[in-house]
Amino acid sequence: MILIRYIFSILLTVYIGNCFLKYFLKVKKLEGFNKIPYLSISFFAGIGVISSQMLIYSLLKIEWNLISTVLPWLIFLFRKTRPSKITHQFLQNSKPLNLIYWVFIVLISLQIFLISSRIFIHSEALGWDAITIWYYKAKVFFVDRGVNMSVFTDNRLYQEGLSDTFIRSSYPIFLPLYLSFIFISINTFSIFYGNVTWFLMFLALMSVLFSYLKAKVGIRVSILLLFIFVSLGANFDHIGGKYAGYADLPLMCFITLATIFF
Amino acid sequence: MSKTLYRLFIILWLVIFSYFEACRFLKSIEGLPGSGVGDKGDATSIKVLSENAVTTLKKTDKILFISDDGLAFMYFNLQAYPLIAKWSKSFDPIIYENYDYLILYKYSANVDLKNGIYNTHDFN
Repeated sequence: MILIRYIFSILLTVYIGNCFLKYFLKVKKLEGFNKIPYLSISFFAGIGVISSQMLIYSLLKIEWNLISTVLPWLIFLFRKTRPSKITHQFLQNSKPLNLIYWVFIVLISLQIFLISSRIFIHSEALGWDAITIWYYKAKVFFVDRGVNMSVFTDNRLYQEGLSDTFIRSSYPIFLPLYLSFIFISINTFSIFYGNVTWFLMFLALMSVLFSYLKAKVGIRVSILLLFIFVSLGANFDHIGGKYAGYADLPLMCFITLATIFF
Repeated sequence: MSKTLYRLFIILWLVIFSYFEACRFLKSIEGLPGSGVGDKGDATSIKVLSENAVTTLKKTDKILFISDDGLAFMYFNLQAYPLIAKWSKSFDPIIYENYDYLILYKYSANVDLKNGIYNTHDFN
């Protein structure tokens, strides 16, 4: 049941992001991206929109729940849109892939499989930042159903030798806000599903990156560059390793997307 | 020349990647903060301790978490929120007399107590 709720919350994120891109941003640079990379971009946009929405709800004292978050976006279900003309500005690379590139594709798939399997082995947060900052903030928002900043400066949580608490009151809250949306959706606090969300962001970034690189440098070089990206040890440690739950990876995803589009 | 360099770079990258990949799988997987059997011979994990605290303690209770492990303290706070504990490395009546409950976890000093939740009135 939790898994179904989780999948539903991810689909909602993609839907909300898609509505935002379609009706508010109208980013021309997205034209030409085929379905999976477009859905990935919608996913990232959805994360940003949902966290902003939850912050606004908290300031206006509107109750946080799944229905109140989704309700404003349901009006777009009934709105008719002109089918967008997709202008394929991408290179149509016709060079066939030889054995070496297939080996790289296998290595990329293997690495993704290993990373995902590691999430199931750990299913926890092991490092300082994940426990004390990102998941702690998400838990506070989830339990209090609002942004309660007083907890972040609670004197019981002051860190020796620093003027700040373990929770780092000045760090951004948009990722914990989104995590709290996930926890509200699945109706429980789960570090495992938080880690899975980070992993989904990684996969989403890969699909966008691959499409973008394919357009710029052709399919062969894009496979090679994607392999280099996947083989970086930091990805492994930040998704399924000792730094699981750190914010570096999702922030990297957002910065990379920003570099591509703006 | 540039093509040879390019291929050399890819081969070098593959070698480095294979080495680190092997290292990653040969080393043991880390556990939860302070996980494993406690110093006093009991196996109460920080997760179980947090779950017990949530069911037995109230939000208004003053809680002191005595442990050598700061990360375990924050892991407890994470799992047990809205309970918030204060961390101490010292099992001292002057410190704990202002609290309602003590939580001991992986405390290596000379105290003959197992990991667990204790009411401070029990010590008086």
